[in-house]
Amino acid sequence: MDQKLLEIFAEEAREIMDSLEEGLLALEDDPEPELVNGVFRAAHTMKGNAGIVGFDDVVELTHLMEGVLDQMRQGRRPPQGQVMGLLLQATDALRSMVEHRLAGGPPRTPREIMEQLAPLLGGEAPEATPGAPLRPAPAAPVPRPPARPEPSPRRRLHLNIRLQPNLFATGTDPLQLLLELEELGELERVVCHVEGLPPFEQMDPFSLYVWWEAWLVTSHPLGTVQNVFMFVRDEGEVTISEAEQAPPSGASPASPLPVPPAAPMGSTPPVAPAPPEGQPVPLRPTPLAAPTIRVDTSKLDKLVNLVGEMVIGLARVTESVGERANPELQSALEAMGHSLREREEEGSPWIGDIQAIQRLPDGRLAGASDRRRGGAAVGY
Amino acid sequence: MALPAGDEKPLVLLVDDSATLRMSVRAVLDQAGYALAEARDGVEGLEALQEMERTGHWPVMIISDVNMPRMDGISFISEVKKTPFKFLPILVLTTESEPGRKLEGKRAGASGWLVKPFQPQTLVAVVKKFTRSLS
Repeated sequence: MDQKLLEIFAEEAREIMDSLEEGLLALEDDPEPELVNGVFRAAHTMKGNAGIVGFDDVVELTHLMEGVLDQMRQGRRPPQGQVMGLLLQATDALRSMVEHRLAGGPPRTPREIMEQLAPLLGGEAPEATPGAPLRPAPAAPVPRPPARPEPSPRRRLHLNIRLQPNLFATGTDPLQLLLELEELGELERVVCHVEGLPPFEQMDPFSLYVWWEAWLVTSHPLGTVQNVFMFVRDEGEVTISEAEQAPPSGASPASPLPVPPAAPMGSTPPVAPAPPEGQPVPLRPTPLAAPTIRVDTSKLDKLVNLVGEMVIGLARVTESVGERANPELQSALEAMGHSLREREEEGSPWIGDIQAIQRLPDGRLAGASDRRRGGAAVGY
Repeated sequence: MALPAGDEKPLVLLVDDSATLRMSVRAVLDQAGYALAEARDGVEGLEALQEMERTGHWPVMIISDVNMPRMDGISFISEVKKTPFKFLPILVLTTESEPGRKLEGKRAGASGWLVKPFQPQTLVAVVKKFTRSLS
């Protein structure tokens, strides 16, 4: 047992037992709900702490005390009469047990008091679990993931994963769940169903509109696969069934969101191909007004400098060569100058373009973390 | 409330009124490569988050007890959901395992529920599960 942890436990346990005793005495005179809550919390914390240091006998006694105090908290038992005397006796016993264990003594159970407390609960308190793993063992070696059950024969599972729309508000990332599935075997195919996506303008970025279908070949038991969704399945709808056939390899009725190929700066934004006949409605009913990409600001600075140098260089060459240049060189210089002038006539000179890009407010697209990394939102 | 200073490890905020529990969680998470900020109840937890927002020292997740003085865990979670930290995963670490209480926690916005006493490897596995996409 970690000595420092025991010292903290001892100090806290003594404080808790003092407040437990004071609270019980005060309750007899003034059964205020907040006072009852405080006494309940003291017993509750004592139970939890005893579990951490492995004092199972203390856990058992405080478990019964907590049960009786919970009845008082819920107004089902008045904090008066014999029961208060019994709780005070239990507190005395608790103090003695804790000091005994802190001194290195073996577990000791105050049977007489416990036998009087237990019937008050009428079997409603869950059994404490002596012998169950209680200690978090702070000095344990590098923790490993919990042991998974022995693998069973490999089979293909088909999953429909529909999570609640406010999933993000619970801090859950659906991608994590899919990555976790991947760890359990071979994730043959994942289809993201996007039919529920509203038009871009109506989209709430904090809502989940899509759902997933996945095919997983695994040798893990069904329970292990279900555990991936243990925190999200209640409000969502996750069905897992055995699939005999391999997942469809072509476009499914709801194929994944088409990702347009990257376009060079200045080109026309790509348009997603029209879906084949019989396929769902296009995902973007209205074209995006100003498509953007993110570019590191240092690259933009470099680009501005390069263009500036090019303009200055062109002016110098033109000036020094003058009319002595051969027709071919003159023609090339004129073409370069013409190209620059043409851009200026269009009202969008190169340097101006780039400077405008640099002036885009960071917050328009880039998140806080991108800003820290020096990223900027860039229109193309 | 104690904020670790200048620590590059992912930060976890632990809200629990038990010093013994806080120390045991600190030992487990420290070994797993996490830094821990501590608060003793929901009120301190919210103050810790305000301080984190001010300093830009954001946690990757929150672990909270349920039964605490001043502001209990369920109310704390509800309050967190009104702040910029609303998308952080919140793990409830409590001795309570009653389904109705769990549902209350989930409705308030808890991401997970772990019953004390816990095994260190279970806590680490759950914390990693919630913070994986951030690492």
